[in-house]
Amino acid sequence: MGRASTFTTGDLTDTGVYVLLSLLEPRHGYAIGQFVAETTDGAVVLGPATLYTTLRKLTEAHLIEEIGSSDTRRVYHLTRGGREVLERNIDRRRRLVGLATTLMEAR
Amino acid sequence: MTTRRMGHGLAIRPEKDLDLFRTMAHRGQRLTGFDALGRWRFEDAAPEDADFAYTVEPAPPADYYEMFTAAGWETVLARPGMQIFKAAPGTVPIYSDPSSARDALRKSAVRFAGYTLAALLAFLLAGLLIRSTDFPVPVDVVLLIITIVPLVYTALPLAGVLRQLRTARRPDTA
Repeated sequence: MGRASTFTTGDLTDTGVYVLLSLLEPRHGYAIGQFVAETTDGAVVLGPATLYTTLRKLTEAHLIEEIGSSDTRRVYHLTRGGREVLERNIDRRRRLVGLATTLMEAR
Repeated sequence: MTTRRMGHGLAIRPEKDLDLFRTMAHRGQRLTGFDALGRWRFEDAAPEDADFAYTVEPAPPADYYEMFTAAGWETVLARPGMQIFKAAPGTVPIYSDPSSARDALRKSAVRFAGYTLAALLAFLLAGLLIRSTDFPVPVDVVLLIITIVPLVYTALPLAGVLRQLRTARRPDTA
């Protein structure tokens, strides 16, 4: 239980990154799941409890915020801090892919 | 016709109770709730192959169930602190990311630890009262019973959640 949460450190899991990416535009929970499934051609499908937990943790870490609701659906959007964390995570993954590409091509 | 089955405690041995729901659904027994003794209640229905899952949100928001429905999980029971869902076999699990499942278990453990601590304090207080006063024996017995029951019913789920957390704790790969 002692390990720091990835939401606190800002080193997000892939799920966290997908949710932040989907919130570059305001969306509600159901639409976030649809967006991730559609943009990954179904390769990534978020389970509903995972989606709910991730939204709660991202909100608690102030990386996303509720900006209202349509009917009973809460609509979320990326905060400025969330965008910075997203860029940092993408950069980390870009460097990993770059390293992997270099190493793989050398062999 | 109503059929009742004693479960193992959803917070204590969830895999056993989820397996019971699956078996009963296959036999044409639809889960409809539980009785005052904590036994699961089933009613006759068409046999079906279904997987079951549960969450323990204390107060799910209005759009909670919509996310499950959209992902193919039908709500079977919805109460504060316990939600049971079913879906066709092969549906993406409700926790697609192990770290989010661990997070939910940690949250449950903290909640049950709070309940257990409060129940333990009440039990100790009752013990102190019994020792320091001269109540008639029946009063002592009643005091013990009404404080030990909540202790058992909070400590056992806590032990179950901690067991699940130990099982679920694996190094993060993400």
